[in-house]
Amino acid sequence: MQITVKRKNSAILDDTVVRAVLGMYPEEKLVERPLFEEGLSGTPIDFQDFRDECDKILIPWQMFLLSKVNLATELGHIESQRQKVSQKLFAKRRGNGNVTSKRIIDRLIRCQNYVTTNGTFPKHAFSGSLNGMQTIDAAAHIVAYFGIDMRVFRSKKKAEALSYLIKRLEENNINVCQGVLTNKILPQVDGVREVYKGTSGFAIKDEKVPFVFIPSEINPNEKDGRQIYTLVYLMTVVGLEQYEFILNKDFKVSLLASRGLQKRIYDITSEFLLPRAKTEQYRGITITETIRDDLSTAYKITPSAVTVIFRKRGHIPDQAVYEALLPDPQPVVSDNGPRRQPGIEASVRKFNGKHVCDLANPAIKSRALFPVQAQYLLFGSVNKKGFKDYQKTL
Amino acid sequence: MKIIDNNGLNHVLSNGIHLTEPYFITPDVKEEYEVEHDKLPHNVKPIFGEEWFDSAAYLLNYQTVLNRRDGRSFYNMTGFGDVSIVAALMTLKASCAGMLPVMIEDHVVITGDVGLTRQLMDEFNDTANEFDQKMQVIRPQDYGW
Repeated sequence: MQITVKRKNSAILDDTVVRAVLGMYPEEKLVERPLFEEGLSGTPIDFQDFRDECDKILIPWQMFLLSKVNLATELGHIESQRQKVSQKLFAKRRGNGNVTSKRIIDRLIRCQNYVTTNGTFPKHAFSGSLNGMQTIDAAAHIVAYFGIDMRVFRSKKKAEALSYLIKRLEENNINVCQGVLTNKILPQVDGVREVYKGTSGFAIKDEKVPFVFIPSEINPNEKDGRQIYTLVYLMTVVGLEQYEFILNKDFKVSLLASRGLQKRIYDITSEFLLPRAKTEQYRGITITETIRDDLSTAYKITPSAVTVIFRKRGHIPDQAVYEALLPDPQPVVSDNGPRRQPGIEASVRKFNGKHVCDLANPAIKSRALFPVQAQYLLFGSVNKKGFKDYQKTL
Repeated sequence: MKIIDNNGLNHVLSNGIHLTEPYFITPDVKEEYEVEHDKLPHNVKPIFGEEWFDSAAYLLNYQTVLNRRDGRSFYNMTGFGDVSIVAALMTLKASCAGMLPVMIEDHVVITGDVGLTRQLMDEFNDTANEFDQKMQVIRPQDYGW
């Protein structure tokens, strides 16, 4: 790929290096971006355009200048810095998204390594603690361990109930990360945003600070009720330590034998959110849309989830009745992004999570964490303006 | 010609030095500097934008130095300032090729960075080359501002 500077031929980028760098995040299909397609087909590319494009996709432009051998070495270097990446297990909640963004995983593994290297945390007592428990006891244990007041949780509107749950998790050393579309935390380019719309929530194992990720802003169809469900689902995954995938060194994902545990995770999640004791009150009663919607509001889950729970608990044996009760598919929300731009601190905190920020902020102030390192940790790339604005909030 | 790195710029700022002549910085040094500062000090100019500077050759030299040198890390994104300074000097040296020795001006790099100093000494050590002979590396605290 020929790069020009002021219309004069300059550096030549090895096409296999270009493809390999762009292939770091294959789900984003960066190689299909027009500038790279043109460049790889032989059209000379202006250096400034090339740099601007690299800024948009948050990949250092210098990486494209490496030789094949040096790139392989560099990627190996990065891998060794990730330390535990080859042992990271993660699970995801399949939903309308079947994508797991490697870019987001990469960022969160970096954050997780930072937290466990620089923080002092005990071994996480919740991990695996649900094993051997009956469903109802497991749900009660989640409530007790995280200090969740279910009356308070259910008294709130769904958005506030979600925030309340997140806070309970964070105060018990689970780092909750959420998808963010603002302040250049993730690439703001069209094709990549389409990928993120399909992103599912996931959990990353760690013996001290497990991480969970919920899509939030990056998937506009993930309503608050669904996010609450995803969060409880992932809490259950952590509690059972049932991670279904191994993330290998080259980010290839291998599926472990699920051992029929999807049902177990589902049962505990449902019991937590809509206890069987409650649905039993409707035994023998026709489940109407009103009942469905009232329970959805009261128990902070989607009407769809209420319907499925009733079905699975045997209240709606008739398939046609069940299908009629399922809510109509929601129209796909057009992605205009959030209506207002939140402050930089809010975006950084939301994506990276409490424990990352609690450790990084004093380190930035004391310069134990240098500005460039801090930017890569919190923004995933150099983001001078964002970092400057963020520093002012510290 | 004077080229200054972030080490030198920090010295200028922390000592309140008023620059009365032009000092040039390379693109990566500029990027690192702008992480913490809003604008460049007076009389500090980006070399990449200068008409007389062969930017195309600079990028080629950058690629060469990048692939030759250790000391930079993509994980931490450090060391690229050094790469850019070595590449800039290679570019300036090439532009002096064929000039009469007396026409080749002194090139001074103001830095206290030991690693960069060593790289420059290794790169520009041809005793038969006038550019190399006239290239100096001076620590900020030793430079006569």
